[in-house]
Amino acid sequence: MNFSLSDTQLLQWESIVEFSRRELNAQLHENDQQGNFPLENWKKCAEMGLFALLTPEQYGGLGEDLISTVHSIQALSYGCEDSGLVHAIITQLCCIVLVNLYGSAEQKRRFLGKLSCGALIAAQSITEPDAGSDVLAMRTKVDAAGPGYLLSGGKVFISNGPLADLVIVFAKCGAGKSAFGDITCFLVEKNTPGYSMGNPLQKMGLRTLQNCEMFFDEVCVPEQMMLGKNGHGMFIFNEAIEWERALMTASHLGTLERILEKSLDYAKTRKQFGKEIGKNQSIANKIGTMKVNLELGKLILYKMAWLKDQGKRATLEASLGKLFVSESLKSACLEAIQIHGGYGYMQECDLERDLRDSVAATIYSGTSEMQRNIIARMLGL
Amino acid sequence: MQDDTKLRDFIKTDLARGKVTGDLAFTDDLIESEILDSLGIMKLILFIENTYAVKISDDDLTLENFSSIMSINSLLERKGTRP
Repeated sequence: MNFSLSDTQLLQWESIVEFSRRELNAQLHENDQQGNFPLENWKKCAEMGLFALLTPEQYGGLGEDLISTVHSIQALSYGCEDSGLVHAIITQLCCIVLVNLYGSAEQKRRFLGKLSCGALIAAQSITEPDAGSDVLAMRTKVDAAGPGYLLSGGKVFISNGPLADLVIVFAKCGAGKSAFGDITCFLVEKNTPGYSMGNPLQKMGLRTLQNCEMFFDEVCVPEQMMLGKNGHGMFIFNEAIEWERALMTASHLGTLERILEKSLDYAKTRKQFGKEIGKNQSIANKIGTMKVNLELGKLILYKMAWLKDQGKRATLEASLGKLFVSESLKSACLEAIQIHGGYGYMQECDLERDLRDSVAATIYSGTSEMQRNIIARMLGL
Repeated sequence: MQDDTKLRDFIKTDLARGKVTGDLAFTDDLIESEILDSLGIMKLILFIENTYAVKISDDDLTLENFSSIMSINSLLERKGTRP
């Protein structure tokens, strides 16, 4: 067992943190308040090669493994305070992973290069009003029609949806009663007749991330746009969710580390009653807990990434990591506000935005309650 | 073809618990009887890969390969693993 990171990985951390702090935090207050997507920052991230991390070199990518990638995403989230932008980048990476894992040679040739340089923005279209974690309850359906398929139904909360040039849509291709769920995936391009979307949704946090409803009114999809095999959507979903939970956990850890350091700095410099507030055990304990959670979170994240790099499944580890780190982040945000007192409650301190963003972390990609259910099932309960 | 005790025990105690009464036959349909649901099939694949050191590929993911203990055994035999 080797816990060390390579010189290259450590240099990449420094490079991404420096880039993120220099380029990605300007106008964040305005963008957060107005719900603006920072398109210029997105382009800078593309130039930085962040979308190309997991793309094979033959398609213009960097061909990195998941351990290096989660390390890079941690660095990004540590330096970049715009969690909505980081979420948008992770959504893009997840779509790239799916096209790379399940796409045909033609699909890879057409889309991977453009997705990896940010020329195309992608979204995964899975959640429906009555089908959240219960994916198999989805009603969006696909019927064979001539040489292709007709896609009908609606989706909700789709991250990157309003901006997406390419959407990976999951739809029922049968009664859905089998263990395989009868779900198939399709790639749908913007401007395809019958495909439309609602206005960006207003959210409590992650306001720079753009989410919307999507509508499919007998959208004609050619067979060559099917992603993976007919009826294999549930397996694609399970694979997608493991990658997503690993990448999201990495971003939560990056934010947690930033909040820990901010709290630590404040506890060392803020004085009350003639001494640093960090000398009070009630403050020191909060920071100690943040450090414990950060270090334990790294262990489960890197185990998760290592499993995926070995071509193994990480269903349990993905749920353990996602649950533990997202809850740790939310708790750390609350405690950081408490440590900062009245200043922490002010918008200019940024912690209130981190807290609003962190609440979403315990909801998307499976709520904490669902993660506990999955863990229990994996233990045989 | 030999029955596989480890496989049968796993399905019976972990996946079928509370869903079937009595014994689990070699040819019982795991999907029709709803022993395998969406998470159950993932658990089963994980169990097979870890226990028999094989990789279940996309091509292996057919209803026929997972419809009964017998069909899973056949899949394992085709992959060169004697259950």
